[in-house]
Amino acid sequence: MTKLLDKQLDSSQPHRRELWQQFKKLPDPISKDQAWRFASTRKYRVGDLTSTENLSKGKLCELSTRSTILDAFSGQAVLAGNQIVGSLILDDETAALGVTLNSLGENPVIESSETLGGDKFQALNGALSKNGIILTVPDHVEVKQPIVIVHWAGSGGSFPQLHVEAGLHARLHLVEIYFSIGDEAGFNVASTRIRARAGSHVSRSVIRNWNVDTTAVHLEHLMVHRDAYLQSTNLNINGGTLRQETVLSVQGQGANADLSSISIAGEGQEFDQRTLQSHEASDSRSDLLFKNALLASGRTIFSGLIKVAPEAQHTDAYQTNRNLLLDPTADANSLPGLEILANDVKCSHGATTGQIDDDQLFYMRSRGINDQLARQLLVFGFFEEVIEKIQLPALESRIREWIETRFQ
Amino acid sequence: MSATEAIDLDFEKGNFHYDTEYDFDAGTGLSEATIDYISGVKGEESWVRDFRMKALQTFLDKPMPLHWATRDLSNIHFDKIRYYLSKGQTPSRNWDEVPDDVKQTFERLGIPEQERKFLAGVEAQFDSEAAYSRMKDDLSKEGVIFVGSTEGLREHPEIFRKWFGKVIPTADNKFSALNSAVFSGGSFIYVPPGVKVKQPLQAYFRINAENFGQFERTLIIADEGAEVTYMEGCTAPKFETSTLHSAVVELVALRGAKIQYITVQNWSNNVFNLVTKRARAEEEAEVKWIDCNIGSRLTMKYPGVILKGRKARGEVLSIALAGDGQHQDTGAKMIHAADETTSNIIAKSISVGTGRSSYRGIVNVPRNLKGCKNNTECDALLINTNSRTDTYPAITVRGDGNSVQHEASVSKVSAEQIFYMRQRGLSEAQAMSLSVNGFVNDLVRQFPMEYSVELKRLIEMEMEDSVG
Repeated sequence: MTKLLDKQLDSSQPHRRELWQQFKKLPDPISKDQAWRFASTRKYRVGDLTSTENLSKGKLCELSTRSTILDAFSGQAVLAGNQIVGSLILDDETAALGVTLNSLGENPVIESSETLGGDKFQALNGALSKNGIILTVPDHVEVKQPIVIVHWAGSGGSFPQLHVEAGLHARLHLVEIYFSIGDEAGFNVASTRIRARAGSHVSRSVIRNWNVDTTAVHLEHLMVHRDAYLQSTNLNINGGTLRQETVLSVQGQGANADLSSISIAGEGQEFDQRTLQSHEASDSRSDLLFKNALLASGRTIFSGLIKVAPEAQHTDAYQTNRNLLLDPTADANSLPGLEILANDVKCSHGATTGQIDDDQLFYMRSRGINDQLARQLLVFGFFEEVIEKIQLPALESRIREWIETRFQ
Repeated sequence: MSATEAIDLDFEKGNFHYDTEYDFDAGTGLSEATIDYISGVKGEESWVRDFRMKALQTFLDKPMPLHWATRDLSNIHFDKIRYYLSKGQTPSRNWDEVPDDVKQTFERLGIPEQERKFLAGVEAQFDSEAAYSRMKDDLSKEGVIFVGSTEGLREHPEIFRKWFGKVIPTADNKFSALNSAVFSGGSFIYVPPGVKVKQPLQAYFRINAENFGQFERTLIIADEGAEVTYMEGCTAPKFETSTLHSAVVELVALRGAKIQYITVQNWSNNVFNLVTKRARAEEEAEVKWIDCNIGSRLTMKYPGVILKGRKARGEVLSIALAGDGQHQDTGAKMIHAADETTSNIIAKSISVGTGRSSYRGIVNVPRNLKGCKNNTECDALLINTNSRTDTYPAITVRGDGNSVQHEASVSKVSAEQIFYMRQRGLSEAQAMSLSVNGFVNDLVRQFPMEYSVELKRLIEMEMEDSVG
């Protein structure tokens, strides 16, 4: 990979070259490193990968039609690999309010921020990203319908970037969807940065529904300012080896954030989620709920940390990880953590791992529901708590359909 | 309450030392010569010496675990430590035979008094070797062995060699390797099948010399159906330079046996207390660690139980109090290795002033097991605005019908509670100390009476300077 890309990198972009050197210099992750504990680090070796090649017109056209997930949206961007499919759409009403949706073309935003162990991949994303998307919502503007970003991964590497800036008191619902074009093994290194300015209200849903040969690293930075509210829901429905790093930085007094997630890990799949809830200002709140359902030989890792800075008094921060083992060969790992440097706080974490409750199963069986259906209903019930946080009925029902296909 | 007055320890009680002339001194620093010296004065068999030499190599090869542990560890200067100091290798059986200066030390700490009152046996270790060791005669008639590590390996190799270094291998970590190289003192206990030792056995560990490293080694074997409770207490005077205490404690509970191991650690706050403690529980055996950490500069201690037999049970109850400048890095490890094993961890910590308390734990249930359960609760209380607490558990669950739950919370003493008590005439310090005692009360109640009273008083004293 390295030689080919060495040539591809344009010498007119010194920043990118610098990041590329950085990427090559940084060591591959090893599971002895706390930040990668329990992970199958070998699967993240980059090896002989090339950037996904440009697709034919016909293929792009096909993807464009497959990208209609929601009937109503205020804006949409569709990408395949590192290429834009069709054009970026923003309806007239939204555009008139000053909302902008643009491509970064050959000039990705290069800004290194805190990672939870994935700094090598941050450098890789910065070095190779093309056509990153930038969305800005001006102060006091409410975007009526969701803005949808769809990304299709082909064979080889994709390096999508998404930058979102919600202005003062702005309101936005953002939907990020990641799919595979076909059965090719993709390598996806994505970066999402969202800044919710004072008083804004940002709701975000991320759906990852790849083929089982996909390896992915997604680095998320969520910044919440004074009195803003941010809701972020991650739905890891399908994929191969996934690492998701979510850094939530609660920067303003009175800020509030809800992070939630569902992961369904089956045979050969490993979903590794690392989170940081960093409270840097007083009177703020954050709540995290990550739920995993594990099928035969599926693996999940949840490693979460709540950090409360000395000045962040009156913080309420919670973290919950629930693992439902649906097969004896599944493997669930939890590393819930707290680092509290202020004293007037309410912080807690809880992690549980268990099976379907026999009593609940018995109750349903005694009412004539067969064993398989009863189990399914209980599993779907387990997910529902997270799904209903999305508050977009059309999207929720699509998500339920996708989840159901995992249990057929 | 009256029965306990005699042994109420003063918080400053451990803070004194006598100038003592040592007959045996391995000098400063660690090399093969140090080990030759220790092994020589103890008259050890060649396998023990080989074991030590190998361990020294492991110790030198292993890096400091700085990728996860606190940087404070790099302040330990292994070349400035004295690894062996003693007045002789044979403990006295009669209190009158103990050298005067050593006797004074333990009398000030109340050791013979305690023995008369409620202990079945006691061992008092002064720097490297036991100064005094005695057990009630009826217990030795039943076949209970309670001796120091030197004597245990020399007199009863057929019992102790089998398990020595088996629960905690030399290479477990850097400090278990160090202990394996230079160990001296500690208790070796064997309780024969079916024997239930009703009163606790106790050991008291005392560091007296500056720059001294204490490396005691304890091995307790409870044979089938046996029961034993062991208590240890630790103190050291305050010196200008830091001191190292690095023990290895191995417990073996054979089928149906019960071991309870109680520690009240009150080292002065220049002691690095880096201890490896682990138990192996066979079928239907029960091991309970009750661990209370109040003193030291840095404590790193994670008592563990390997649940090796079906229906074995492991428990860790832990209280940590981190005062100004202290770091209590404590926790528990539960390694489930058989069906239907259960474990319970309850850890409570209090951080005062610039104190920092950390909980670190491992719960592991592998894929071939059925019906295992773990419950973990960690609660932290923060007293001052500059206090700090961390929680870092690691939980891995596989297999069939296993369930694990972990909960942790962080809070401060509620202003309403303090207000309520102040209204009724209590001073702020009294109110605070009452609240803190309430926070740990459900755990303290599980301690033997004498220890719970002492603990409450220690907490009260810590609290006195913390408010206002």
